[in-house]
Amino acid sequence: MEKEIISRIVQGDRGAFRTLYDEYFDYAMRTAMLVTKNGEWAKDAVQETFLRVYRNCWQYDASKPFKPWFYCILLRECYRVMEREKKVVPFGEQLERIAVEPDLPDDRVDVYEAMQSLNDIYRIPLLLKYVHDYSEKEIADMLELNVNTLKSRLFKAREKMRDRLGGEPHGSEA
Amino acid sequence: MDRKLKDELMKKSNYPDDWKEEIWGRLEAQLDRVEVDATSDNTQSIPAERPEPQEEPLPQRSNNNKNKHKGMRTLKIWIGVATAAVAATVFLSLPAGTAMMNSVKNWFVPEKKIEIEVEGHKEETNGQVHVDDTSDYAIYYDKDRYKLVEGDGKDVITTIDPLPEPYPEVSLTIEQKADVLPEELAKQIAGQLQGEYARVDAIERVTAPVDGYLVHAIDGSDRLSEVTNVYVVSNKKQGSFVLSGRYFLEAAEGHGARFYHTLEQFEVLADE
Repeated sequence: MEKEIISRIVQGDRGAFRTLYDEYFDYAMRTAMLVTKNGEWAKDAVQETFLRVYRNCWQYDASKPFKPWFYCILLRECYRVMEREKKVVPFGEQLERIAVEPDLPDDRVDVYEAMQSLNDIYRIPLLLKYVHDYSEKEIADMLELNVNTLKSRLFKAREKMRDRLGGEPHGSEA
Repeated sequence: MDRKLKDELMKKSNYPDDWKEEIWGRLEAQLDRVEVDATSDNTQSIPAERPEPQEEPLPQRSNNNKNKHKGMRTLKIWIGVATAAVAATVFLSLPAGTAMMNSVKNWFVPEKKIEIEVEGHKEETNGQVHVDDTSDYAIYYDKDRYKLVEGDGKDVITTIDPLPEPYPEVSLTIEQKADVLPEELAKQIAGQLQGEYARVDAIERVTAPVDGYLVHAIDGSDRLSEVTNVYVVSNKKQGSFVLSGRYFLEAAEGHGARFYHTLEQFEVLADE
C-alpha cells in the first residue's frame, strides 16, 4: 500500500500525501517528542520531515521498506532542530547530565527519566523498540546497524536501566 | 517492566489533539506557496542549487495530472535535472560519511560555531567534529586553522600548513593509554618530561579545559622556547587519554589559547 501511495505522491497527489500523513503522524509525533523532549521542537521536526518526504519521495527505493527511510529522515530532522536550538550536546555531556544515582531505590526513579538519561546510542534503539514495537531487524535497518550490534546495545541499555532502577531486572533479553 | 516502560513512553509522548491539523495546515501552506511560485515562473526552469533546504523549490507537480500539455516532456527533463541537483545537494548536506546515518554516533553535529577568546578578543571559529570510533572520543577543532591527522594509535591536530623554520612544532596530540589510570600516567609523563624540558611544573589537578591532571613543561624563556601542556584524563574505564599540546612561548596566547579551547570540546564517548 505504501508503495502505491508513494507512487501517487510522486505524481503530486496531495490526497495520497494526506493518507501517508494520517498513517505516520502519530508515531512520528511521539518519536519526535521523545527524542527532542520538547513539544515545539517536535512539531518543527515532524513538519519538516513530512515536507522532505513529499519533496524527496522520488528518491525512495521502492524495493526497500519505507519505515526505515521515513524514520531516518525524522531522526535527522529531530537532530537538525535540536542543533538549531543549540541543544545538541556531545555524548559526553549527555552522560554528565545523567543525574540519576544508580543505587536509588526503584520507587524513586522514574522509568522514563532513567531511559531518557541513557546515552543516545542506547536511548534511541530502546525508544524505537518500545514506542513502536519495531523488530530488532527493523531498528537495525533504521539506524544502519548490524543486528548483533543492535542486540548488544539493547542488552546494555537494559542493564543500564536496571542499574538506574536500583537493580530491578528490566525488559527481556535481546 | 516492558509494559511499564512502554506505558510510560506513550504517556510522556502524548500531545494535544489539534497539533495534527495545525501541522498539516502549515504543511499545506508551504506546499501551496512553493507550487504557486513554480507555476508563476514562465520559464519553467528550476534552480539547480538551493541555498537552504527550507527554500528548496518543489519539483513542479500537477494535481491529478490535469496540467498535461505539449511541453511536459521538456518539463520532465527539467525536473529530472533539478531533482538530481537537489539529490546531490541533499546528499552533500548530510554529515560526512553518511548517505543516511551510519549510526547514532553520526548525529554529532558535523560542524558548529565555537566562540573563543584569543589575546583578549572574542572570535568565532568553525569547529569540525572528529569522532574516533576506535578510541571512543570526539573533539571539535578549528578547521580553518588546523587539520587532524590520524596516525597509528594517536591523532594529531596541527596547523594546516607546517610552520616555517625556525618555529617549533605546534600540535595537539590525542592518544589513549587503555591500561594506566590518569594519576599514575601523569606521574610517568612528568618523569619523562624531566629529561626533555628545562622546567617541569608540579602535576596539577585541573577541571578545565578538561577534568584531569596537567603536566606543564617549558624549555627556556626564549620566544621560541618549546612549551608543552599534557592533560591526562580518564577514559571512563581503566585507562587514560593523553592530550598533549605543543607550541612555543611566543604562541602561548595564540595556538596555546586555541588548543585550550579545542580541549574544551574534547569528549570521552565511552560511558561508565
